[in-house]
Amino acid sequence: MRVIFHVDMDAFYASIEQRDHPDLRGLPVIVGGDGKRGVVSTCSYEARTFGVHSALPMVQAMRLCPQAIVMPVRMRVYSEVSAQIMEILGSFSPLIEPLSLDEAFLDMSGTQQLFGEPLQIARAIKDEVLRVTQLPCSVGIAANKFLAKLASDLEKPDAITLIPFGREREFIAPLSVRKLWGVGPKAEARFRDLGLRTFGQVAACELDWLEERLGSIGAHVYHLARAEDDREVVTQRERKSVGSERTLSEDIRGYDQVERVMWQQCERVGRHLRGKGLVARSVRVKIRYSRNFQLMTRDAALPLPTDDSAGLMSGARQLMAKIDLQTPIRLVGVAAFQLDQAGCGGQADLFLQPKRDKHSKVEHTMDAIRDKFGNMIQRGSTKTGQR
Amino acid sequence: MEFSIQTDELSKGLYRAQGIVEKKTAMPILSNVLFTALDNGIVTITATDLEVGMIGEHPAKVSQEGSITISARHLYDIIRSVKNKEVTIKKLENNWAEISWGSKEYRMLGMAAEEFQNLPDVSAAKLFGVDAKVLKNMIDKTIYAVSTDETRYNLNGSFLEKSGEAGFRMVATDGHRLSLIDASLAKQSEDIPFPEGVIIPKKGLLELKRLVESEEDDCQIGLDANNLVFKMKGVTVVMRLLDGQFPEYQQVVPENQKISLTLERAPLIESLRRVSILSSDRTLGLKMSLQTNLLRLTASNPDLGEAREDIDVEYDGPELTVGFNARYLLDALAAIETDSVRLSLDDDLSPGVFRPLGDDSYTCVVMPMRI
Repeated sequence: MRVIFHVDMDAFYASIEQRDHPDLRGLPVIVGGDGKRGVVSTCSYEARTFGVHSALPMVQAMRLCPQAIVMPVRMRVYSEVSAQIMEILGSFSPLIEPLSLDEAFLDMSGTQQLFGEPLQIARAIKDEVLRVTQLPCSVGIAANKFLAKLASDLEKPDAITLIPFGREREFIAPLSVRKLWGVGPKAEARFRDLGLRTFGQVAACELDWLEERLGSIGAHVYHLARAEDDREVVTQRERKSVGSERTLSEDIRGYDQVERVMWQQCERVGRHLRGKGLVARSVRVKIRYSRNFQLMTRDAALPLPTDDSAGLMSGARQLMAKIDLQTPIRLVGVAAFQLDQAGCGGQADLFLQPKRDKHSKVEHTMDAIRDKFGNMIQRGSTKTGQR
Repeated sequence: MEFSIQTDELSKGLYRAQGIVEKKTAMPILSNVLFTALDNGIVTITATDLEVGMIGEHPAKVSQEGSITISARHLYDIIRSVKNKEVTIKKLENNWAEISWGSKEYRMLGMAAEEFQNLPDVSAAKLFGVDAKVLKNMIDKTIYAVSTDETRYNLNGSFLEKSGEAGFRMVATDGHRLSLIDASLAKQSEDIPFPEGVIIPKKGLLELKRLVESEEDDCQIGLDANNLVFKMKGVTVVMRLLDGQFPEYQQVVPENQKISLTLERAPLIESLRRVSILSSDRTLGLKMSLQTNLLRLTASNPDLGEAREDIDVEYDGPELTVGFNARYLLDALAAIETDSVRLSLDDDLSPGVFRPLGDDSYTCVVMPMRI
């Protein structure tokens, strides 16, 4: 029998702000961008009672909870704290799969000899995280990943929830299908149309019947509702893409304006690729228009596997030429995908190689300077008013 | 419109059109050929995809002038098996066409000739005679290197320019490899009306090759605005040239390379084929390692295994290992006809160059893989 833990920090960013600013404790705190276009990254449980939740536009959040204190995102601090937490979790099991900065799966199968019964281990993990970071977390314990994640959420915050082994189906039967990650209001409505609200009802259906009516999600939910999930805890997630995007404080339009923002995103993506020793074979640009939040994405293969920002940018430029840039735009993003390890087995190019090698070398050098002295050098074309 | 024509003649015209007509197109008329019956006993068959167009003249008994368009593929499939007969093609009302011979009768739904896109008028083109065998050879020796990557549009054809005493040079590259041939293409040596280099699209090259394979007499080419015009007995082909700048290819053909090896072509091809079977699927990469009097080919694929073949060569320089895509090496070696080839190298980051032994008119450049 497998024993899977899902450890999830409670209101992670907001809790860190409350920890570092004691006068905020007990008050509604919202962490997020405070510009016109800002969204809520995280909010404290005090703010949640007003209906504020993450991903809510800031303007709306402030309407719901005018007394909330808005704190800017301090991503560097959060990453550092996250690293501390992952290290603690790693000391309990080598099989750890971080899902994001503030949550991870642990495979604790067969560790009872070492650490004791699951509930005891969960208690020890919570204590250790609290001792080192002064932050609360919740732990879900169950026989598979799906159930563990479900469990950690059930009694949040600051809770340990164990789904009894062998009685999983019984335990989750009364829960709403909404509890399943990935089932949003739309999917829920489709289930409801079939008269299905709870896992118990779904589990009682025939698989074929569900698939016929709901397609692949029907089968997915069917198995989960029967508490079947054999996905392993994957220790190192293979990166599939590296992306960067920016929501603009004011709409932009026109090639030059978009190009400048695109450059900044390519710089960030390129730097990330080089830092990880990856090269990309394709690039994707993403534009969100203000009108109806309409999203436009376009992909292109790169002529050479690329880790330099200029190479990504030339791919992005090709795509920009195919996209309407005259309509007001609120978000510009770029992603590199089809990633390979750099330096192994790439076909060199007769015409592009010398230039590409030079770019790559320059940018690796720039990275080294930035690592040492901070972000003091930048490409001229990413600065306002210059090309 | 009504005319009678020998099936061999009709088949020939329809066969030539097959490579040009579009199979799947947003414009159905581009799947059709245009028949035009003239009062001088000539029927022309025209096909176009708006990039490459061809018009052929065929002798026929014309009883009534006129024109109609009919599906090229279907008509060819019907006629190809009919040998030594005279068929009559007659236009009926509403663009129906009746095709009949003996007791056989077919009726096909055509489209109005007025909707057909006529070929550009190239009567002003200045043509000059070319050697059909040489033209075919130049195409054969470059076309495999033409890029099919649409983002590198200027590489989607072979570059043709006047060059030195030999007359003409044709170059093709996909960025990974490049092939270049110099040859006496023109039949005349002076006053050749070919002012600048042009990029001939791959589809046009294939059509030219097809035509010069069947006939070798009186071939002429010339330029007219953005078109290349090719003429031979009874056939005119007009193709739109690729606009765009062909890269500075001279800069990537290495000169005075440090290492030069002479290799037997046939055994090398066999070795490369065998070794590449165990190279990785996606890239077909293999390593060429040079040691004293030894060329070692190796490949490995974690899922399959490893291969190693040693070939005796005359060599006494420093050790060197270069990675190559086996496909590119095999393509280059297949295009060379001599028993022995010369391979020139500099280092593991610079291109390798294959040439026929004792013949510098043909050059195959292959860029290495990073290993």
